[in-house]
Amino acid sequence: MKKKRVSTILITALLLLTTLTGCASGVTKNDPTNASASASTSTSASTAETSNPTVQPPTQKMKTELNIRTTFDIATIDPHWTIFYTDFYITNQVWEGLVRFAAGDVTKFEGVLAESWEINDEFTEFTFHLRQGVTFSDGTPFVAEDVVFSLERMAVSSGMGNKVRGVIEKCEVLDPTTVKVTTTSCTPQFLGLMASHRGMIVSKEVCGRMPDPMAAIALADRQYMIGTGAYMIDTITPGEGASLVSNKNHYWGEPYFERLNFLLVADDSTAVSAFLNGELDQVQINTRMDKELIEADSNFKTNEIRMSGIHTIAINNSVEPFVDNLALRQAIAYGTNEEVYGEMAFDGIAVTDKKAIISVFDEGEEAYSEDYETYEYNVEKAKAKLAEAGYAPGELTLTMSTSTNMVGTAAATVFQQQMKDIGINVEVLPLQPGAFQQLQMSGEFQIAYILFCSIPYDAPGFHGTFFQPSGIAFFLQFDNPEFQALIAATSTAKTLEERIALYKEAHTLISPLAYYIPMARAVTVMAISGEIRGDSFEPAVLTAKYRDWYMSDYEGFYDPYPGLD
Amino acid sequence: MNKFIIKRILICIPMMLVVIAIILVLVSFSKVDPGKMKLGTDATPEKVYEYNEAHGFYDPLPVKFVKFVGNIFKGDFGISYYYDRPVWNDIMQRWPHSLRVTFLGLIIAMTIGIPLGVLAAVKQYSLIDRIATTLSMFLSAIPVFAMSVILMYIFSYRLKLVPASGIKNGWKSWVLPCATLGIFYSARFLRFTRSTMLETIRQDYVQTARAKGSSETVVIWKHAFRNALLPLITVTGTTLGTLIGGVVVIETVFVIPGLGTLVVEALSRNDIPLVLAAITILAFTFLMIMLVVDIMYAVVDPRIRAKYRSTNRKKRK
Repeated sequence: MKKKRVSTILITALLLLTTLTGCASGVTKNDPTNASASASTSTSASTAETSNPTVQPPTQKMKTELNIRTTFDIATIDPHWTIFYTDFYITNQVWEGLVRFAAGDVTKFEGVLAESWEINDEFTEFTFHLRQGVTFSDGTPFVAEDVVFSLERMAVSSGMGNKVRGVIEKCEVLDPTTVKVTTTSCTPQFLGLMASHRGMIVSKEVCGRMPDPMAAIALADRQYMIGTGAYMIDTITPGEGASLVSNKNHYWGEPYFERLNFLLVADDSTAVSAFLNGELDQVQINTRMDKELIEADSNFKTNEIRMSGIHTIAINNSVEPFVDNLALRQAIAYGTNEEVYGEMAFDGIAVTDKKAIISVFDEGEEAYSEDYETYEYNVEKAKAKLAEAGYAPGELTLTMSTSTNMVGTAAATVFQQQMKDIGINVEVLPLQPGAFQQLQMSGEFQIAYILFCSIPYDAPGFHGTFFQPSGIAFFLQFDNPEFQALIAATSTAKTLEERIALYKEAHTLISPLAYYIPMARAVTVMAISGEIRGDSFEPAVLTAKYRDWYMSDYEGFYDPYPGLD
Repeated sequence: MNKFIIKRILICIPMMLVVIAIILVLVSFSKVDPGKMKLGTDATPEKVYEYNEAHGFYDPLPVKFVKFVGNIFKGDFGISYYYDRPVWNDIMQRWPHSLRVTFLGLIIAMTIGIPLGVLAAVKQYSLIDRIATTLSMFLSAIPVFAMSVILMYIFSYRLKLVPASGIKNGWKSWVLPCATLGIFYSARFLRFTRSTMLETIRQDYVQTARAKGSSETVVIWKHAFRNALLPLITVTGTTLGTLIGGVVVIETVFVIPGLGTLVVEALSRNDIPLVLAAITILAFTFLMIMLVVDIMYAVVDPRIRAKYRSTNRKKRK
């Protein structure tokens, strides 16, 4: 009797819990019923008033804070010294550059702190006409001397130094609103440098108060983190993230969102839970399951950003057995099935069309082409090439190094299986990210999974870093003087057409040589709340300008750049 | 007793030196270049050398050891390669969060596990005993990260009772992480308490206590449970020691900026000073926990207390 009573109580408790769980499923923080109710109220009000010329936006905003997920802790909030993407996301809101990449076209530029500019025919003189009425967030006026100081500071920094040092001969103030930069040689990509993360303008007056104006701003020294951007630093909490508040003195006016919270959430599943729960408004999605879950919910939407980057099997061409062994590299190339990588390693979140991935750069970018020679997946040809290379099936064992992140491990596993199919044994060496980076730098690997990426977009810089012997990330270690000469020539080619022709010639030369084998083009999927408007991500720099974003209640009312065509 | 405590504290010093030496040797095997890590691929070799030189990277191992130990006494645990600031700041910012989760989780685990374990032992072979035993096996079988996600899904996503992540929502932020740890480790306390209680309640003195007319509550809690405490204290100490360093999963899932996540992040970034300092502090904490465990033995068990005293008297003679 007593046992029956206890059993009954337990079963009842279980049923109650299940019922509560089921009932709660219909209620979400982003409840479309509530959202559309309030939206419809404000819409109705604005519709009713549309005929009235004095129509006003809602007095109370739908949302004033934006919560953005970051995956790494903040290291440096100094635009000239940052090297991590979390930091770029933040510095991109606080500081601005003279120019930025035009939306959707990295070969064009838009003026930010510079209204207009002139370039001489030799690409050695760049004259910038500065925007008037701009102030830093502490009220300090933006003056021409700030541009000169910023360029000097970039030249000594570790982040931008290599690109700017030795390039700029002098920078002079022609008048209070005009600055002229003279380069040491023909530098057609100079505007691209200025449009990158680190080409931001800082205040000479503010930095002058630092003990060493040229040194990196310490995280504790928020009083020096002053820019002309739409937001200002409010708090930085190591291990948690940062909070930015809107700059009420911004020359375009105050942005819609009054506060941006960059929240460190390292775990992907936690991030998705927090996003679905309404605690985050933007999160990067890394699995197909999460993507489908979010896309099935009308409260959310996703942005797919194709990156200037490809997942590759990078071959160290300076070590055995790859030295002067084209047949072996071709065997690996023929044995690579990109579609399998796309499905198994990158969970469907990748571009695997061979023509679209042979080039590191994406469509619309100057080093992109679909005409390079590719190796179609063919196991028989792969086996034949392996025999040509002098190896019997099962005779050769290679070591593939990879990072222990999910993508790297999955890619290595697929590679291992595909090589087994053609008769090559592969041992996978997973390494912690730091150790993996060290391995790459030291060149002590045979094959590695590497993401070749040009963010910020900088075709000459990318080639210089990854494809030239002097480059610090020349992992491929191949010897091809003709290729290197063509790449070197792109730095001084004056027109876009000339550069495109040079890149095409260079990559047509090496694509048959299979120094590296592309797996897939990297795609970043960002999930954001469905009521957000104006959302866009700049693929060239893979960040967003949150000044452009607003909620649906201000649709038709909010203009991030009033008066600008 | 006091001498015993002082002696134990003094023994910690050479043990800590050995721990530090081992960590330094292990770290020296890695091919870390902090300059390249920190300054990135755009930095020149000169800048990299300058950075490494400034951070003592090129010092020989014995010099690094002496410097590190000497600086500890000055309260200087080194400068982080990643953050470029004293590691002590980051550790002290994160340490309280880890301690909070650990201690609250432990309290919950003991609050659930010990009474249930006593009940299961007293009512051996009853339905309560079977349920408790099954529950403990069930809870032990689920990995803590799986339990975290399940509880997050139910209480955060579905029921909207508590936030899924972060520590910015006051006391609500700590409910899920502490409850997850507490529920997971309660199984351990339940099983252990049940096991030691079963041994204890069969002893003759328990029968004697009953025969003297003491109430069942007094018999169980004053006589039986008190004697079962010693092994429980050991388990508590080892569990606490495990949690101190192993709460990283909870911190990662619930986004708690604790010492566990700091160490894992520092390892992935090869931030050696941070790793060194954090492990030193964790090792020291573990030693202190073991010391407290030894002291608690003496507090709880008068026989052990008397033994410490008699040892000292013999030495004086």
